[in-house]
Amino acid sequence: MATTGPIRRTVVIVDPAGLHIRPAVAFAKNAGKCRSAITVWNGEKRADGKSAQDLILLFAMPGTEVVVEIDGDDAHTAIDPLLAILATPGYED
Amino acid sequence: MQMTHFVVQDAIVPSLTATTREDVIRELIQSLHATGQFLNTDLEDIVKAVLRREQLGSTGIGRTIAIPHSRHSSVSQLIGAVGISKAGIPFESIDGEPVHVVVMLISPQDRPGDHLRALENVVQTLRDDTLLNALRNATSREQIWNLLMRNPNP
Repeated sequence: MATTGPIRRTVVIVDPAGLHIRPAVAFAKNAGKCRSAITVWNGEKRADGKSAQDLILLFAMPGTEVVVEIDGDDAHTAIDPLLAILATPGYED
Repeated sequence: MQMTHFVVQDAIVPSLTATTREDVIRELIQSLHATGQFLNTDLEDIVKAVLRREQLGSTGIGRTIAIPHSRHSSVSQLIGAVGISKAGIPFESIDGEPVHVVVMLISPQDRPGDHLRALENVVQTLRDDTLLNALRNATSREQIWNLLMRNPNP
């Protein structure tokens, strides 16, 4: 059991369409499999990482830095795959 | 921005006849076409673009809402259509629930900001359960338009 508190990482949205539906759904689906609480911040705006709709409301344009915070016993294994979704450009035309 | 800024009033479909994801996409794009938003020669290409996007992953974002979309060079500004399905459409949504409210968005190429703003606007507007239920129960184009107009979302 991790006892070091939440993990926080900053990641830049690289998808040219920003944090749109597809990465939001992919992130929420993956986050939903974790036991940890997952929060994503764009400045003062806060989203439940397990809600695609919340993530879309962050209105994160390409180049935006968002902070991903994971708090729970599987945080260490969950963080990298989640960051990879936000740090990978999509293929939407 | 309100949804009425980009939804084409005459393209609202209060009672979708389509029962599949592909057919509902076609029905809403045809509804937009019927209002003269793009040329007949672009119709099939837009349908294909939206279906191709949908194949990459469902735009069913949960709570009975789907936002199928694509960019396309035939439009010079963002346009949208709203369709309501009383029966519900299987959409492979994130929550596994059938979709009752479909918002179709077609945006110009190279305007990602407009598209993302519209997505945010749709999600913010439909976040209100009362409005979402009222839309699902609406029976006319005017009723749906008035519900979207009354929404206080800036």
